[in-house]
Amino acid sequence: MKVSWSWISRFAEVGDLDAVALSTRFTLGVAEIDEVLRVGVPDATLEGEARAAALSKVVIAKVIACRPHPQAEKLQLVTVDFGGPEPREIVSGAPNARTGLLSVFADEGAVIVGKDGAPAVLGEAVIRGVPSRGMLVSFAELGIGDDHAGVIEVPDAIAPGTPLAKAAPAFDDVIWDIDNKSLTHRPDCWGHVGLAREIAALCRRPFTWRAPEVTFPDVADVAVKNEAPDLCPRYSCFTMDGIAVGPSPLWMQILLWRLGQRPINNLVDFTNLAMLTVGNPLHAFDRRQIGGDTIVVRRAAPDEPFTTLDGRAHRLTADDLVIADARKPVALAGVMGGENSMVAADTTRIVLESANFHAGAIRRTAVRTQTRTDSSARFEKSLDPHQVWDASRFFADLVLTHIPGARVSSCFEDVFPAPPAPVVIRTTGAFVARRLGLDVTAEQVADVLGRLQFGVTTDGDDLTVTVPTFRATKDIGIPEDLVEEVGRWHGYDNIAPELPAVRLAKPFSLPVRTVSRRLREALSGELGFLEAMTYSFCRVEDLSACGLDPARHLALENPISAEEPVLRASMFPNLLAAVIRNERREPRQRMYELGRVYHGTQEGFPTQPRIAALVLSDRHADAADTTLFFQMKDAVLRALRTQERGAPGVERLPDPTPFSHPVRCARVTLGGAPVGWIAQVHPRTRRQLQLESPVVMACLELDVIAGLPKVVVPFEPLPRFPGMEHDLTVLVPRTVAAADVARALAGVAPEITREVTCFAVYESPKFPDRRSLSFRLHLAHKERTLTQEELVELHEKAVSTVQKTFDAQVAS
Amino acid sequence: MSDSITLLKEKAAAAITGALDADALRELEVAYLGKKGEVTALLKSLGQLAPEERKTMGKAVNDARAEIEKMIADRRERLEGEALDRDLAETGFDLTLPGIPLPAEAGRWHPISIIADRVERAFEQLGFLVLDYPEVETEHYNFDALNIPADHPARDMQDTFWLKNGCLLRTHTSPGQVRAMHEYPLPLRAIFPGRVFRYERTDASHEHTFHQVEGLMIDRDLSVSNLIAIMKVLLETIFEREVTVRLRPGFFPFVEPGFELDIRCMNCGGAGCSVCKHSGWVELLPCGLVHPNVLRAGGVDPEKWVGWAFGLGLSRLAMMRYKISHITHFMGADPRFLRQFPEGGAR
Ligand SMILES: [Zn+2]
Repeated sequence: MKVSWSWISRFAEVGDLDAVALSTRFTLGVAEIDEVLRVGVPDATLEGEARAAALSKVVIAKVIACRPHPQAEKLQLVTVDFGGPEPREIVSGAPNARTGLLSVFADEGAVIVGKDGAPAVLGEAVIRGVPSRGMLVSFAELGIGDDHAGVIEVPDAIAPGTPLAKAAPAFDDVIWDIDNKSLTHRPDCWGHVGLAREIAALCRRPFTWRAPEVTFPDVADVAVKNEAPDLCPRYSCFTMDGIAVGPSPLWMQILLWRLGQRPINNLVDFTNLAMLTVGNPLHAFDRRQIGGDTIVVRRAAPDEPFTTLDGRAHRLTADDLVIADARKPVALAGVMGGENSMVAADTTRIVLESANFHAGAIRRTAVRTQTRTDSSARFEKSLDPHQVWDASRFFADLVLTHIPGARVSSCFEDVFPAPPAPVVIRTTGAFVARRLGLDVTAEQVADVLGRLQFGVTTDGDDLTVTVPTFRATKDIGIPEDLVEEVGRWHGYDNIAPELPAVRLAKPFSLPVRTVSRRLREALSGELGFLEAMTYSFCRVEDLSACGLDPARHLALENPISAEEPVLRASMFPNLLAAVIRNERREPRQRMYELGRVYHGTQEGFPTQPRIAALVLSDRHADAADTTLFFQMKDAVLRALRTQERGAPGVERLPDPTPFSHPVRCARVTLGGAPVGWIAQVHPRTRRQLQLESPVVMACLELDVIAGLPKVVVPFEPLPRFPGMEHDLTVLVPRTVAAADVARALAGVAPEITREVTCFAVYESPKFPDRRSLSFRLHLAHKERTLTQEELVELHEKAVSTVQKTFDAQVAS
Repeated sequence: MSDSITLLKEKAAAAITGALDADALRELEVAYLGKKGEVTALLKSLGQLAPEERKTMGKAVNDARAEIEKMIADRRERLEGEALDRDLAETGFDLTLPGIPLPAEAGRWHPISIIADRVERAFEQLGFLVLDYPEVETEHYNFDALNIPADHPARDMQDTFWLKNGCLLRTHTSPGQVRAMHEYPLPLRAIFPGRVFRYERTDASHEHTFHQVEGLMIDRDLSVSNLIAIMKVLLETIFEREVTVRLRPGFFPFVEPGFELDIRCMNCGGAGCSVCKHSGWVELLPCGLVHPNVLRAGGVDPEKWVGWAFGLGLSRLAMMRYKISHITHFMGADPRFLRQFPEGGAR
């Protein structure tokens, strides 16, 4: 919201303060200011006297004669009286320059906004052979709004030579742009009056605004029938006659431009200015368009058609509130007026609505009809219904002051059946001090609240606080709210930081976080993986390519794009997509993600298990080669060994995912419990995804791992006698599992065999149905050194065992 | 007539399901759909019918034809899949073969994990629990329990992804506040980091998915002074240097009083630069004393307990620490980005 410092200064004695410096204080004490703009001289580097000099060159001027330019058809030679010793003839290209026009003249030395948007200092120019000093200017050339249409037309009588800064204080001004979000909870700050009140309190200056006195005759015109008092706590209106629609005075036009409102005509401008000043939106109806003599506030009929004044046609619902005459709605209450009741150029009689509406209802209607207006933005903040009366008088006074012959022609019709009861809060000085961690007494609290216009009575440390109506609608209702008032007024900078004193508690850490952390340390540590993150949404196309059914995924009501309408139930579609994006640049990828996947039907609360998803790719690998698979197996088993939950292992996987190779897959176990799987990407999936690289995936279920009992592997006593190693290479059919051979070898002489490991695998087209496996037997006896004879005996028994059991061939 | 169509379809279905290879299927295709096939014969027989009936029956026969075509196509795909699976099965794969160690290479933590780890460690040392809460949330925990009723304008600030089942993607980590109050005894000190979602278009500094960490402390007597001290300690631990913080009023319905915490710009030291939009300060996190209504929603008596909470943007912090220009890098899974952060897990 834009705020004019000159306009604020009308309502509080703060005009002498530095508005730029004060903006920081305001940000720290009230709400965030996005931007502070010193306006009037487009060149921000000019300061002090230089700035004042440039400003003084912009004055009101009257055109007293015009004649054609001798060289150019579109230019005129215009004589202007700008209050100088004698009039001056200048060249002007403005289409609206004419004798008698009152406009604004920028003399030599003035700074205007040049054609390129940069500041330009005016000097003498020769235009098509005619020398010219100074120029008549448009609003845009003065840096006011974006109206380039012609030179300014001054509608009110101002003496030529009057500096514009004097005629229109908002010309030379400081504008604050306050972040609207930071005013969400401050319905009182949506107008200059409320802001002035806040600034006055902050600076300990008097707040001077009083609503103007207006006399309403005792004559009824339009009656009000409120059929929905729950949605409209207060509705008032009155009639004004003798209206002449025309331009607003110059100062007001400039002020409105500064506040981000384009001036339209006096009636529209007055309602806007009243809203921007008092904070309550108003609406002016053309009296001719109101059928009958009653305004009805009612819920819309279901499907009732209504066209707002921006030309959009709506179908309303019974949740929408309308303002209607005897036959038809004339406004969507609090949101926008109707096309059918707008004021027009020939309007002479108006009915002014000033009302208060239910915040939630206005918000619902504005959201549903997609009609967010300055009016709805204010009403949805819960405005003080008492503003209704102030805003009415402010508007009436503007009309009476600026439209000669206008008069108030009816009584103030006011339906306000249940004014809210005053909000009273009881608290103590000690409570406020304790919550802030600041030494404040009840008297100091009372002083701050008093400045902010709260009613306060103290009794020792006890405080009884009556909240002013403009803070009581939503903002302030409990003692904690008063803590904030005191804190922000004192400045949080004045609170000394102090760490809390606390009792020790038993240590606890979430098992699943320990699991994740250890996995991350292993994977991103010695195992050389990159930790990645991918989105929780996934593409239908990728799901289908993976053989997954999009319909079995949780669907979004409002997806960010139509291609990604569901939540991931597996991390692999997104990770594989990442592998594809990267594979040209990164032939070998080693990535993983720790995150949640989402399972659920369309009803009930979804389960969201935490998963580790690993991918290993090698673009140059042969898809038939199993190296990647066994590299992944090695990595996963190593990572799981850090978990202290028993020995990791692999076994046959009965139910691979649709995108997994049906054979090159394995279940991963930890302490015998299934905790995940490893699989090569199915060739069909690879083809459908257009994935060039063979990829092996691994999936570990972190919650399952976290649920397993902790197993600490006990120390193994060191052997007292030296051990021996014995290697054995066997050629077995490919259908024989290495683990079975190892187990058989271990069983040959279990009392002396400590461990059997397979340390080499060799396959060759020379023996296509067989595979060469090399085992190392770690042998030792508890009580003595092994003898060579024992070794020979063991070897022979081992050879015969594998020959018998596995049809193995053993090289001699 | 229509009976014979039904019969034909049933017969075809049985035969197609029974076909065991591509050749058998091709024969069936000829037998039913070929020039001399049964469907074709049925079509020819329509000539005997009255024009009216010919029309309806013609449509029925054509529908049957399409159905049979589809059955054959589905069966063919299935057989091909099975054939592929059989091929794949015949490789003599032995999953018990020993693992092969990967060549040594430097692994990396994700930058968000690095930052989260620093925050978690700092808080663990202060005696805080590190908790983890769901990303799909209910409207109750994400809004209502946090004192943000329906139609509250604060819901605007948090454009929400809604699920068709009525749940939503949490718009902040704050739902964990009430969940933690339900789950753990008082006094309570906890943080909960995680992924959050906002329904908005992505650009250099906006993402629909980003990371936050929520902090919550509930005890008998806590003050704004304590909150400032904790935040200062935290930020100094993360940034490894002295930081100057300031609080200013900020509106969040779940805290009262509520603040925005700014830090003195580290890029320019407060003199003003593009990072701080020439203000000398950078807005870092919202925080405040927990609103009594939120305590009540968590079953905590606000007469006896007081809490404070904060929500810190981890993505934001990582961007500041590493001067990352585009927030979208975080979710891009691009190794060139992911390799750049070597200090993961460093203590
Ligand atoms: Zn800076």
